[in-house]
Amino acid sequence: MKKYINILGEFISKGVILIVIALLTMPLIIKADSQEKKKIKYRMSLTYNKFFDGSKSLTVGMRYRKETSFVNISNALIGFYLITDKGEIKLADIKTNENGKALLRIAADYKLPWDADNYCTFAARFDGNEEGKATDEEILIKDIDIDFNFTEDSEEKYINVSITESGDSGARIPIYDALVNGYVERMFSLLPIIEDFSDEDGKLISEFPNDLPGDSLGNLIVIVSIIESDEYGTVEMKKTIDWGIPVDFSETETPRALWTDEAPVWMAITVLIILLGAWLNFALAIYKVSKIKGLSKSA
Amino acid sequence: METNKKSTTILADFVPFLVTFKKSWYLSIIVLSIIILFGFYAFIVQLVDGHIVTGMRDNVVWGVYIINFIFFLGLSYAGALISCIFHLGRVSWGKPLIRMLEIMAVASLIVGPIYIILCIGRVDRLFNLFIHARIQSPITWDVIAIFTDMVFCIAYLYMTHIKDFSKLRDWEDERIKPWRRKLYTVLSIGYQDTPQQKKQLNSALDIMAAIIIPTSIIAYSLLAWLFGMNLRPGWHSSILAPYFVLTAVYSGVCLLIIVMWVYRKSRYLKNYITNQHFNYLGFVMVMFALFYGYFTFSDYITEWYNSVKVNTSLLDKLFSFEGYAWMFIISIVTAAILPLIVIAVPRFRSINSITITAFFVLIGLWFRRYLLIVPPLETPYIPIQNSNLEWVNYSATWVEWTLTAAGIAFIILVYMLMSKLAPIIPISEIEERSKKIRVFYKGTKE
Repeated sequence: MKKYINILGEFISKGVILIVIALLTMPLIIKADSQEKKKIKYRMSLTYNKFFDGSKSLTVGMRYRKETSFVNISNALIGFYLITDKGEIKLADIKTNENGKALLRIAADYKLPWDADNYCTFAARFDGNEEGKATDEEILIKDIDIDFNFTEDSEEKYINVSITESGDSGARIPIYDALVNGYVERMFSLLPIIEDFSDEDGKLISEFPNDLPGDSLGNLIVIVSIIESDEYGTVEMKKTIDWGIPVDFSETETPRALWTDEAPVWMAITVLIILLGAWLNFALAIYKVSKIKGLSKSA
Repeated sequence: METNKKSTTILADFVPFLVTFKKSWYLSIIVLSIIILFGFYAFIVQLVDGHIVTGMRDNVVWGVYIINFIFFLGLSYAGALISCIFHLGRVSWGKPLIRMLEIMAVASLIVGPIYIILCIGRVDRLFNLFIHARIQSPITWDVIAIFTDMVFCIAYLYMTHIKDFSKLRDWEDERIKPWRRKLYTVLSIGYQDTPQQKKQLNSALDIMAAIIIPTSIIAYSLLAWLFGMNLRPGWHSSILAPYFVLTAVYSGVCLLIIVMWVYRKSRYLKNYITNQHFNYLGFVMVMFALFYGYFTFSDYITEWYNSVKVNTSLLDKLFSFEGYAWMFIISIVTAAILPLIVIAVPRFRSINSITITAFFVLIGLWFRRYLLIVPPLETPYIPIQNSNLEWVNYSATWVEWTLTAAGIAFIILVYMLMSKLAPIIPISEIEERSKKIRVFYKGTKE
């Protein structure tokens, strides 16, 4: 009996020791678990656009890397700034949309603080949140203008592009070696017609196609742009010219089809043959039945 | 002559049934007429108040009416198809059943298209179907097919009665009232069973049977193509036409069994509708149950496997117990599994069990049509904007159920009236030794 009491006592004492150890280590485990989660490193992109009417836009894209792909960040508050010699000028605070984009439009008449060399620094800043670290981005953009006009000779038509920046007293300084793209607006996309570099005079002459269909008056919308340049951003100019082939929208004769008023010939013939076949046989059966009465008289 | 004696015996069995009207018969007619009148009242309510009195809304634009249209048309085509196959194939055991099938064909074909008219809403615009018919439209094909089949089936039903009308015209029995005898005289169009007349009539019957078979198959396939040629999930399936024909014939066999069971209650018919008929048709049911299960599985597994989002939404709805899982399970258990257990196992096989199974199969097949129409309409192919949430799910109203009951009552009424006009068993078919159709046998070489 004493022996069993001793064994029991041993078990109880060992059990108590284990419980005490567990109680002492529990806070450490909980504390380790509640340690601050590592914040995600967000990636920010900032782009500048200048449109044909003189208005501009700044677009921020926010995303982070998850394994082998990127995930867009929505609802991130982005601050847009102009960086000048005199300090920062805050333009706006905008939240990113479901695609992770925040867009700031700058009106054409808003005077941006271009320096003497026509440069301006734009900045975007994200101050961070519970999940992501703070991040910012700056771009230095040179203000340039695109202009173009149309000329033609007896054989060909041409588009003459000029890329310039503002100089002293309103002079235009040519931009050399800028990659210029030209397009004609189509219904769902843009048709490329120019892809070339500007010369020392900031000019570029390209042939214009003769065979493009326009609207009913032959109008074509032509867009000339510099796309995603590190120095200039994206700049575009748009004009209309009546060099397209006028399209005749008058109603032409619609062919026979499933969706028109007249059925395809093969369908009409098939239906007719089937119906005729069935009803002629029916008529034959009725004829045979109709003869019964006549046969009864003669019987 | 022995033939005359035999026909004398058969007619003697049936004439009392034709001329005797029991109180229970009158009561049944009154009850059925009341149900039909109540259905007519429901139609007036719908005509005055519009389709708001039904469960149909912007999302689910087709409901019980279209389901009934498909169901009854299926019964009709099945009746026509099976009776013509029995006739052309000179199937001796099928002879007593031919008239029941023909009446099923005509009665269901009258009732079925009425549901389309009920579904249209603006009945005054019905004639646009004919005035502005487009030959490219499956609806136009369907209208032509239904009209053609209706004319053919009514003509065939009449032609198969001519010989019996002539026998009844000549039957000397004072219980046959003068007006009835006069009616038989008119309807028998001078048929006197001479060899020339018999040749003409048999030839006409063979021609009609031969053209009704493809007409029925094509007509029901056209109905299936109305759905199959649509992009909607659950409808856009290339096996829909054979599936429809299969379920139609399956429904027709089940209804035939029920009709046989009812008529067999009469002591006159027990000698003509035998255990063997139930056996044969029971095995036909088993065969169709297997095909039905196979077609249903094939249809759903094809839709499920391609993982197209809208197909998956439909299947989720069908297999969810908050959706239509119960109805789906009932339709599979009753139509695909129950016949295999009850009929294929000899221990469970009896006339009553076969009939009860047929009844449940009919319910299961009606549910299948319900699952074909309503869940796909609740799963739009292109999202519907500004839709009222209450309109997404369909629930039939008293108007629709009343009109369904009226349709069923009408078919029963037609059976009751037709079986008082002429024997429900075609006496002439039974007593004549059928000549085999030469075209099926001549020219086949060893």
